[in-house]
Amino acid sequence: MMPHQSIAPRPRAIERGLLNVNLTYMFDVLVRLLPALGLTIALSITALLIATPIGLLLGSFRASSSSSGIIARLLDIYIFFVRGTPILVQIFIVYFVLPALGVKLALFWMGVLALVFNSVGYQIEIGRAAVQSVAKVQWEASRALGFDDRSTLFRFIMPQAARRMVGPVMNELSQLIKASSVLSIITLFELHKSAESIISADFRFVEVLVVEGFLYFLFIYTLSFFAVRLERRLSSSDGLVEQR
Amino acid sequence: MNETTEQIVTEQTTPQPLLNVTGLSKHFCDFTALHNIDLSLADGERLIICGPSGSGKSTLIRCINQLESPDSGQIELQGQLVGKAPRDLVMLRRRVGMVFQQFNLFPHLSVLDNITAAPRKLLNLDKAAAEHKALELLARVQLIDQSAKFPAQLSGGQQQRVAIARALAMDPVLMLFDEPTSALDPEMIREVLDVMRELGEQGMSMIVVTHEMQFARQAADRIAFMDQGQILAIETPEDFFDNPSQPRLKRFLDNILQH
Amino acid sequence: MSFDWLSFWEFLPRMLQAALVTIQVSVLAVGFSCLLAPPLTIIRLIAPWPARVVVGVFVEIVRGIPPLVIIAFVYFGLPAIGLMFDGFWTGVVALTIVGVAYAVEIMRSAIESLGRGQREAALALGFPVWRTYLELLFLQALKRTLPPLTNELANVIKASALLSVISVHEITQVGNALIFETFVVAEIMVQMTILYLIIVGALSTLSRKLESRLV
Repeated sequence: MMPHQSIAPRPRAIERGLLNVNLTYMFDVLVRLLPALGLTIALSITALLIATPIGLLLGSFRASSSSSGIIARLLDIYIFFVRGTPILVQIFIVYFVLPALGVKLALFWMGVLALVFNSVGYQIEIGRAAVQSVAKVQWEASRALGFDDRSTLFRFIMPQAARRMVGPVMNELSQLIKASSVLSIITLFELHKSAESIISADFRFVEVLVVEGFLYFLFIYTLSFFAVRLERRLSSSDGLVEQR
Repeated sequence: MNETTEQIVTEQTTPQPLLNVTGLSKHFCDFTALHNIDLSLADGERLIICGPSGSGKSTLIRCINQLESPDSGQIELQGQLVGKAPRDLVMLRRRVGMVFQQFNLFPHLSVLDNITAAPRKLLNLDKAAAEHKALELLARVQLIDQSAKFPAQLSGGQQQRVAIARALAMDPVLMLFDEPTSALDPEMIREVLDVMRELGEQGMSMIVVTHEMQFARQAADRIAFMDQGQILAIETPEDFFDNPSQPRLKRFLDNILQH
Repeated sequence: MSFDWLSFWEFLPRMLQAALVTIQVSVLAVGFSCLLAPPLTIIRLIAPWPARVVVGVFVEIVRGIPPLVIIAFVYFGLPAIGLMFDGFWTGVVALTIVGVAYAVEIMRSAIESLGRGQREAALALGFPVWRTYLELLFLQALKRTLPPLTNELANVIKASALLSVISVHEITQVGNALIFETFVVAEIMVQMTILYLIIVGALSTLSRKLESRLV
């Protein structure tokens, strides 16, 4: 299936200065878009749930002493690639390369895969920073008690690192929700694509776009609001005395 | 007249006090930091304010240069009432200098630039004149050879002395000190207090919030004791230490002079 | 599956032209963002209440919506109030809007991270509020803004790929069109990838040089 090139062409005759806004219509559009919003959320959360543990694992690997091994360099190249190219390009790669390798995935999972691919590139850094921020004294205390490095990592360091990741990970979820809109280009009927198709039918650009924007904004803003509160709650019960 | 908020009329020959504060009040949410404060300062007078934390000492002097905006009351400097307009505040602050507990030097500027920044930008002094003056001030605070250094390279005591020089560069008529030595290592407190003492002896009017009681005894003309937003007592050093009139003050002195 | 070098060299000129368009849009958007962000940040920090709220709301909304929706809004929505641009300029306007919103947020938090102390010291010396921010705080905060700002500007460059949906002949659009014309996939994807990596990489290097100059 070919991803289409552009949305409906702009109509020639556009009412100048008159914003024809019909609130009933907008409410109707809002209700029609709710399933698509659900898909957007499903895509984003699924991708997050997969990418975050990977990020934490690879991040703690990156933070540990083997920082110049070959795997570390490979990770660096991967991160450089993911951060240096648009997500659209990454989506196209998944979209074109996978079938060429004979892998058949449902569109939803292709979308999730592309999002995971992208998100891990950022979450490795989040995980690494979180692990490194867990005070050195924790390592020392654990080793002094006789735990080996691997146990130390999994038993003590990672749980604390996970706590510190909450803020950045919530932010990453916001990023994923925004990134999921790009999946509209491979005709995945998430929020943006559905809004687009409503526009193609009714041509009421401003009203539909406002509703769509409102839905995105509502979600992302609420998310960041709770993220801040959650982070505050978690950091206050951290137990670590901050040394300034 | 209310006992706890005495209106002190100075016995000096100059009829007009340098600073006259009347009815100053300040609330933060439901907490009253200042309770109808009256205060007068004569020209050349050195006033020290002490008291437990939370008594409102810092709030009081911050209200004087309007870093905090009082809810009620008025302030007169050199006989002129201080207005609320931004222009008035700016003019007020150019005549009143302040030294902070945390020094607050500009980290991206050298010592010399820190001192010349305000005179050059605000008083339009040219570079040569400003630097000349800055070097004079640095000599006064014994830091003449540090002019090219950056704040991060100086010790706490040195930074605070630069901060004093910076405030003096604007030729203020009144200097306010907000716990100037509280953030310093004990060894450096003396160098800063010496500078302040000299400044007072040379005639600068100053109000100092501090816990340094020795300094208060030696350098103050009057000492005020504040508690819970009110000035409970305001005496000469002799009366203050040897003959405390207020029981609360007595308790405070007993506690803090223990060591 | 061998690499089709013939096609690779055949398509390169067109891809390079597309890269030029990407660079043009990006430079314009980044440039306008950098020009507009400082004054807007100052407004956000010290202007009277209504102006501050307007800027604040603008920043929050733009940051809370996917860039693709903003592009759609500029392209399809703005004409309703008489503002109609062609693809290229829609791109510049939309990307500037996105860039400015993030830049203002970055600058604002950089200045606030400086702490109250210096602001108070400057005020106590008699600096008016706006001069305190402009002449003293901003300069210092600049150093702190560089890393997150570079990151955000890189995002603007990457967002330019989204302009392919409004037929701007930038890298992704041209690459995509070529893929569908010729069914040559891998080679063109490689070109697209490398071109973006170069452009984004150049921005990072430039910013790192600037940062070392500022220290």
